[in-house]
Amino acid sequence: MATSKTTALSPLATFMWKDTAATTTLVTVTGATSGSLLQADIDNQVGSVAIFLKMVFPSGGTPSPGSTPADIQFYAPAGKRIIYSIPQGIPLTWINGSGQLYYWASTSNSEASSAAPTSGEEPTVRITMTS
Amino acid sequence: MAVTTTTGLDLNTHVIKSTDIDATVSDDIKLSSGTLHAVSLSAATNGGTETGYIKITLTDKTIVVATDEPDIKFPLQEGGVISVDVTDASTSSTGGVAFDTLGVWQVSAAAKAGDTAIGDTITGWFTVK
Repeated sequence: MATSKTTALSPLATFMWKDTAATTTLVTVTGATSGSLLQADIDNQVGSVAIFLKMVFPSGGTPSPGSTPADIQFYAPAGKRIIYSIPQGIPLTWINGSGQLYYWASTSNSEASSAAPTSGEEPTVRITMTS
Repeated sequence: MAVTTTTGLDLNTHVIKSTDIDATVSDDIKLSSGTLHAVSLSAATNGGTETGYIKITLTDKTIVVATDEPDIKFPLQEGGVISVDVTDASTSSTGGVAFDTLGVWQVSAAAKAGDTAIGDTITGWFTVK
């Protein structure tokens, strides 16, 4: 899964991660050592099935899609781009001081599911948080 | 879980206030169809420091909190407040997440995934059009 990281929306000091193929592959974002989750933008335009974006703030060890329940889960119906905005943010540090963020997408709402979208129908995911 | 439904400023908006969302009880918030636009939740402070998760599940059957999976889930700190706005960016005229094909909304809270109780009171407002 290709992942790019850009700095955007200055002076809000917001980081954006754009993932063009969020699937069952675990993505580790280590730059967010502190801050809050402000927005999750899920573009499921090319998908024929609903997508559930799952994020994990690990309290210990590396989470494993398929067995680790997600801390945050957001839903995007097929063919939709859905934006979840959290004005005050969800602070990360109270969950895990290391600030590591893991996320993946699944076609199942099961909190630990890693059921993969069909190849070629992966959604685009953008996650925005304060630095 | 006590649930009251009122009509908001927009005649097509239903503001659902649910107090004492307890994972041991899963009363229905009955909506035959609708679009989720916003969620605002606050957790009561009872001196504790525990963190819970709010879970929103849309289903046509009664939730079994300990086993059923949520569609939307995010953490809520003890004594904290969180609000989430939902926008459908794929359309220009409407927002929110439509759950038109599902019959009954249910809301639950749990201290952790698979847990059955948070032991605290969470008050929530769910704006649905």
